[in-house]
Amino acid sequence: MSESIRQSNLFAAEDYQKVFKAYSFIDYTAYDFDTLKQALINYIQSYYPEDFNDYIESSEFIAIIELLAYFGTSLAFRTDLNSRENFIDTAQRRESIIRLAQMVNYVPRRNVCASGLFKIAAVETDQPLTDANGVNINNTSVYWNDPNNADWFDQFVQICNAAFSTLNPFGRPTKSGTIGSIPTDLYQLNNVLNLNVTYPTSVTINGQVYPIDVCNPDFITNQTIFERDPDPANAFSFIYRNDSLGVSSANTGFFLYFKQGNLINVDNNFEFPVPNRLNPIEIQNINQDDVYVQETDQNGNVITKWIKVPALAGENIIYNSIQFSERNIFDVISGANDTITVRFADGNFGNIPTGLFRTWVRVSANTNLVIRPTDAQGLQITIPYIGVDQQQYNLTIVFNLEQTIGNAAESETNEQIKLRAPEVFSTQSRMVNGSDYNVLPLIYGNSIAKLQAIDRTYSGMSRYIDLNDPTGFHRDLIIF
Amino acid sequence: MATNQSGYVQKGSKNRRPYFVGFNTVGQPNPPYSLTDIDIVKRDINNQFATPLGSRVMLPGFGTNIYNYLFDPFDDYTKNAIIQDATRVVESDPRVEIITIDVFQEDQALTVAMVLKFQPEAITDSLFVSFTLTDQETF
Repeated sequence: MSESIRQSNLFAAEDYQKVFKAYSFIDYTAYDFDTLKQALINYIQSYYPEDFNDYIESSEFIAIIELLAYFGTSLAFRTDLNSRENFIDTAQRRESIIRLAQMVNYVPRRNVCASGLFKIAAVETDQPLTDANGVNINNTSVYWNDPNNADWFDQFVQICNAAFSTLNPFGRPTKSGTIGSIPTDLYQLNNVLNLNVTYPTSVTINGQVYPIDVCNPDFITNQTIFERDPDPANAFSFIYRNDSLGVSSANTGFFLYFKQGNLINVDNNFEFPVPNRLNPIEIQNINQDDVYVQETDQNGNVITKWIKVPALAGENIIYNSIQFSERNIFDVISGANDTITVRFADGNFGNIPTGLFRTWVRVSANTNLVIRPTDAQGLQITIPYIGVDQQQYNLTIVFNLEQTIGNAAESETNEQIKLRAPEVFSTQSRMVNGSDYNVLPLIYGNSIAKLQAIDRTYSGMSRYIDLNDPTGFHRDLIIF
Repeated sequence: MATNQSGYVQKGSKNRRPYFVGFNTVGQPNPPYSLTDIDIVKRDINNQFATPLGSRVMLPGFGTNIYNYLFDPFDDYTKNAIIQDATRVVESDPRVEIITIDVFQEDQALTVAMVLKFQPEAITDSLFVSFTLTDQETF
């Protein structure tokens, strides 16, 4: 024995051979409970046949072997699980899939809420008002295009003007433009400030009640109508559209802009400047578009509106399409169940937030919701406003949905993210070849139901005529 | 002739190696933890009697349900059920055969008394296993 120890000490470097040989008999293919138990028993049978042969389930040693097998199984399971969660093809947990997608600059899309326009069907005010004929119209519902009221338009406009800011009576909108080739105007109300940012109502579809926010709208001409940053100090606005097809047209009249969901705010006090601050918002089903961050004072008044980095592939808090001079920026990272984390800049690529901050998010249905006109008829909100006599009155509005709204979308599923993230990464955020055209638009998530792009450059070109380039970029090939 | 822990006389054990070599720490705080032949077989049977049925991980059929009868009236039905379960436990070990088995009640315990034939030497020996509420609570 002493000789053996002495030799081992002398030839320590060679001892690995013994160790390696011993390990060579270990069954490395055993990972589950049964195979691990059998491997351990085989090992004992091979190496200690004279010290132990009590291979019965009631043996204490077998119980210890089972304990080891259980431990090994647990370790193997964890190791296997962790390995699987590190590859996008095999990952199962939502958090892992989102992180892996973000690693290749893909931004998984949360749900998209239904949004659109309600047409105002009737207005009513408790302010003493008379129409052009001296008829008293306070506390009287005046309906748009009322066949039983010859003076409906005059009365309707009188009531609206009573609630509008004196700076923009009907005919002098605060903003004019064109949306979807229909002339569109914006009229600001003289509503009571610091009361509401949205006016909640609801629709019932198939027995399910869905909350609706009537939002404060704005628009960019030739683009789209959008919701203004929620600010209680902002005046509310109506939209007026006229498609020149008469007052009975669904696109002529006063409109309210709505979004499906509830607007919720979360206040935070960032006492110390922390670079790359992460502010988790653990509210589920936050929709894709409605996340707003504002710096506020102690009374909740908005000091600064921070700008969101577009949630597109390739954009993040450091590298984005926002002008470098705009320093107050934030990025939104999607989490499981459509929760979010607001990420702020590091001080170099944007300002570090300190002080009181308010984050607004809208929780939506996270379903492919279709709202039909029959689902939203006779809805009503009341907007308190200040009349021209500086007294407070209430404008009651009844409104209907005129056109079916089907622009809601569910959040991307795990399978969709796993499929789209590598594909979108392969495009390198530009559309060059046919595959790019069929893949890159998928960054807009489930708003796109089906995508098929066809190269029509050579459409109509006969293959039998002289070779030329229909784009005119290359000189025609001259064949002699 | 040699005498082992349980006191029975082991035939011709002087120059032979034991048939069964096992491992035990019950009542054995220090090494060696080795038990042989009839002692390890008895220990294994006791191990199973000490395990309530369904409590062992991955082996739900291992153990005994005699603990469930501790508060039952000790009538013929209970007695037969206990004997049946004890028989099942003992027969799960191929190294023993049951010669007689009986169960009786004393104080607050049930005791299963068995006379067993231990293979391969066909040695006959008795085994008494007592079940009390305290035993069960230790698990």
